[in-house]
Amino acid sequence: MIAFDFAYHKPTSLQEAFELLSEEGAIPIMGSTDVVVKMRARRLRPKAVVDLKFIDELKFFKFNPEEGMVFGSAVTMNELIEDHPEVKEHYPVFYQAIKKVGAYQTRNRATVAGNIGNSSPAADSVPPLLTYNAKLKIVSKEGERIVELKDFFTGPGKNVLKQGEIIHSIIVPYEGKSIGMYYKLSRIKAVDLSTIGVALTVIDPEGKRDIRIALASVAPTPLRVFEAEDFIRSKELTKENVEEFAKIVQKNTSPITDARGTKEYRYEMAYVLPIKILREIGLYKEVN
Amino acid sequence: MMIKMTINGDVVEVDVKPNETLLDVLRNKLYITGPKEGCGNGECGACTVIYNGKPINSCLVLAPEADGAEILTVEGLTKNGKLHPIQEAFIEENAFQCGFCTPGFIMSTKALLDRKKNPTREDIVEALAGNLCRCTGYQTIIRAVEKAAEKLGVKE
Amino acid sequence: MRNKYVGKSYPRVDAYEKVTGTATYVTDMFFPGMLYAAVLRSPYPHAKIKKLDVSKARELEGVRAVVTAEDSPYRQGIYLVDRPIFATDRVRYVGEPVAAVAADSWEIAQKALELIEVEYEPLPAVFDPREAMKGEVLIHPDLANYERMPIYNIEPEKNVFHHHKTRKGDIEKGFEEADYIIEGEYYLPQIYHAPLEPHGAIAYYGFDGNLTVWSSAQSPFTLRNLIAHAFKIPRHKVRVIAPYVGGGFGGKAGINMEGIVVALALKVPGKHIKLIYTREEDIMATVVRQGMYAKVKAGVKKDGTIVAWQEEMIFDGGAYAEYGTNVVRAAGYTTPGPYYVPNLKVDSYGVYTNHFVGGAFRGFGHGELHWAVERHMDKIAQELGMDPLELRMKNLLKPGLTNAMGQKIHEHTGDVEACLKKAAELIEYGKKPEQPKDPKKRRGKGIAALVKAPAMPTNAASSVVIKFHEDATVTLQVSIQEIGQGFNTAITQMAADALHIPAEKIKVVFPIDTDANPYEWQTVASRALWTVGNALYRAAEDALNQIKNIASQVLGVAPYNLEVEDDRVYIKYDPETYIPLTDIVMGYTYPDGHAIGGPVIGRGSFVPERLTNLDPETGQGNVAAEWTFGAEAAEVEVDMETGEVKVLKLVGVFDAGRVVNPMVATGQIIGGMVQGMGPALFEQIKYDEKGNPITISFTDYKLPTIADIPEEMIADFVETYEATSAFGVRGIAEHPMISVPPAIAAAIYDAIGVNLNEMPFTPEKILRALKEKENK
Repeated sequence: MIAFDFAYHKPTSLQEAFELLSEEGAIPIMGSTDVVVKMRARRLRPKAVVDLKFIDELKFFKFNPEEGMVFGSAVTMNELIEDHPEVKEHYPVFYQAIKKVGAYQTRNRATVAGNIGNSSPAADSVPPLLTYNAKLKIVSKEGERIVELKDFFTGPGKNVLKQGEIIHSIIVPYEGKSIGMYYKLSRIKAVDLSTIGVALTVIDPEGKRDIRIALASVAPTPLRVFEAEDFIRSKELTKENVEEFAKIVQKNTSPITDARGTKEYRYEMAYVLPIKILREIGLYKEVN
Repeated sequence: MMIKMTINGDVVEVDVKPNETLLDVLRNKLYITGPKEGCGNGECGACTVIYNGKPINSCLVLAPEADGAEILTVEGLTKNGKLHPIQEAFIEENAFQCGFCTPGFIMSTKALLDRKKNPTREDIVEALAGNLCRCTGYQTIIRAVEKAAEKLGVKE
Repeated sequence: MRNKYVGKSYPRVDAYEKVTGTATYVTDMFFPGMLYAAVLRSPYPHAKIKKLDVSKARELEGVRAVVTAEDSPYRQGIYLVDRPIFATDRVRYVGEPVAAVAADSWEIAQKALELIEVEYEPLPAVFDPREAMKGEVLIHPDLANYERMPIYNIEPEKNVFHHHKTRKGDIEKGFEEADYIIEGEYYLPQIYHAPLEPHGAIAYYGFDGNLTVWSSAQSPFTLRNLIAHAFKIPRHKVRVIAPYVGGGFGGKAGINMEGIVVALALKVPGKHIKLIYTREEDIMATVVRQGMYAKVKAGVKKDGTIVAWQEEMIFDGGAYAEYGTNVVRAAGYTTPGPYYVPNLKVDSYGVYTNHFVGGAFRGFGHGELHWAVERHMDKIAQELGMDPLELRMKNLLKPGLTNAMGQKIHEHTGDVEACLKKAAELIEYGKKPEQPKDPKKRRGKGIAALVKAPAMPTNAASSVVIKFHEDATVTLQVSIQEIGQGFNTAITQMAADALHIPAEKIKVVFPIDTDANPYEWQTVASRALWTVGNALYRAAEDALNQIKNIASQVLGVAPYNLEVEDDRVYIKYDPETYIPLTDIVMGYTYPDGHAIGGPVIGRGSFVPERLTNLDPETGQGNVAAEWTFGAEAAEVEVDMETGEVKVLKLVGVFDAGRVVNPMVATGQIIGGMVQGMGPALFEQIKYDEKGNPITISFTDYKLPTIADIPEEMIADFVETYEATSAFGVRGIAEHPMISVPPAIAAAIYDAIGVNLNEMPFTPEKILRALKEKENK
């Protein structure tokens, strides 16, 4: 039970949703797994919630090597995990990460768009999407725009969405085979927020070996570390280079202390985990 | 606002408000009290029901959304007083103590066995990680799920 | 007594209700016209209430009552009456109730809370009990004037609500005899019970002056007693009804939040008032396990014999003492646990702080004391270069020796050596674990022992009523609460054997209703089967005697020549001659119509025998009725890069006396070990630097999930029959939680050579310890 009154709307078309969202105090909701929690705690007091999950246009999924993967904002995480084998096959790091979001029950409701829209620095789905150069199609009464995911977040719980705008779909380019790992450190082994999450994706591992890295829970927003990627590009994965790579990752972080962990531990893990992942995926053999 | 749901096979019409969750309506308006509120935040799974075929935390569903939904709660598992094989397995393996989390575990198990006939330990862990139990230490719950899978397999 | 059901894995009698969702908990109860309550809570850890104005809330439509300390100036407390139902002049922790509202709906009650105006003036607060003992901030300036049980020793100028002392032998002489003096410090933070069912209660005050309270209560009679005492209502006008409890672990013992609904009900006679705590309220405003700082100094001979043990335990009792008084005492008189030390000096302090209220928690001081004792045993072993198991074996509390309070250990007291041996066997102690290929991951094994007696008043009583019905079926009235431990099942088995009738013919009366049921002190202290078993034995004898006396008249045979079996009472030397029980249990009616006897109702009471209070200066005395020994072992894998610890295997072995139901007992052990693993690895109530709690939901206070448990968990028993029990039984309910943390800590040491002396063993602490080791 939520302690205050608000209106609930269930539009079935985008046009209808735009109208409803133009009202002051109206917010879009999708799986409501974050929103209900916040409303219950009175951290969020909307006048109206506009439930977008009944809009058919937002429920699609497609994949082809040219356009990559595109899916609507109403697609749930479990649908991506269970109904679309392309996710696991072509975006393994993203697949690993969304499997680590909440509980099975949560993933039947939660959407990637919701995870992005909630804009928590701890969002597990985001770091891998950053490494895959994901983009968002954002729509409103005024039209549509494409925003690079890396440009979307502006702070904890903050993003570039304006009143009346909604995330329509997530576009993830296909750049060839990828391997990698989403390493989530958390207090317990399941159903926890990350103390730190590191997505390391290697595009075309046998060819150009493009290493990309993004992190959760180490900065005010999910963080992709281009500087480290630039450093390691076309360099051999020697002890020296890998350690320097990890150092660059680490120095780009600005973690804080909270109930899940201290800034010191997060900072240390921002160095340790990139090396550990490179070793675990078999690209780096050295053991210190 | 009036909504219409099919709960455990019965069509139910009920007046709800947006600030009520599906769990509030089931418990406080329809007196279907098998689903429990353990946290209200989707962290404990005690309110798990099968909603349009999938297990979800009913504490995180705003009631008006459930208009037209098909819902199965633990109350819908027994047929003419006869226990469901999952319930039998939970008894045989001593997979509960205080019982407060049990309806949620049973519904998560039902949904798991609906989608996977022979779940591995890993499958069981994935399906039940969202259900907290403070009494049993989970060992007997894993055994009960395995036994229920056997029972259901034998039946078919 | 026959031996047909006890010892068998009889199916649980509460099974059908629980797997079908029809078991009723307080939250599942609804009454016509019921009102909903809500509570306004302190946002400060310590503050003066300068102004409290509820007038606007009272005016809101749909509000039926608003109460504050002004309307309900009552205090409660089980051993020390220090806890106001509503904060009076000051608040002492974040979450403390300041006012409560009863309204037509939950929403109106919530809206009313927002209309209450409170002005606070923050006061200096104290969060570390060691600081609090300096007395610079006094949390209870009136402590000396509070009503309390005289066995508790307050030190008001030091914020101390109980100071327990053990003085045995000659500590100075002990240290002189020692070859080594080994010192250590150990810490554990507050943790939360986290029953899946949050606390809840419904109260109804009739126009006739009778009060009924439905509560998620472990101790219906003690709750009745404390409500009656706090609100000054005669006992017979207070009725407590306790349906199923969705997990208690000590947190639902005594009185918690019931006073709030009672205060409201007294203002609105004729209406049911329901209050179910949210998870957040349950974490903040019920009770938690106390934190503890321990300092140990042990005197040890070269061969490992411990000759002196000096220890100071300082408990973070939080804002009110609650059961903490007795937790502090139990930890004090049990130290140094399952080991014999001739010269002892132990000081255990319960100290007020501005943290959440500390109270009873599964283990009741023993998880805390064994954390220090068992860690220190490992330290001694390390410094002596001795195997930790060997050191333990050498110093065990064996028959003929005396424990800390001077009680003599007998053969029938239990066999800790056998427990340790069995646990060592099950963990394959001494066999090096197979190390993972990844050199950054290391495995190790550890073992720890434990002992615990019920911590209870010397006169904690139980009673049982057995009623026979027309068809010779039986209802059993007993007021131990079914909190998941399987009591109703075990007592059914015991009653069947005591009455010589089939268990299927017995039903335990439930829910517990203090108006109808016989007295029971509490469902705490792992004493139910022991104490109720003894009362049951007497009640069964009473009932059987009544049956035999009637049959004796009818058959013309002495009662001692009669025996009851299943459906009949027969002549022992001529079993073919019998009377069906159905002809006896309502009284026997002769063919001509005249009747003798009458309905058979057996009654039995029990109070522990020969217990005495402890000497306040030396802690010597006879306060513990029976002891359960045990041993636990763990195997872990540590990731030295991230500091993550994975528990691979847990083993628990307990000398349970006679095991009544192996299935249920095994379940208790496995569940208890996992509950012990949580605080070892991650559970902890955290506060920020200003004392504000930051772990007040399941998002931030994490429990072990199914993904966290070890692949392998083994429970096993030693069965040294308990001589003080008619059934040979003793408790095991709390014990499995106790020594899991030290066993895991020992396993971590075995794996990576570092000592963790502060719980929980977070990855961060592991890494820090590894670094310290490197730097040495």
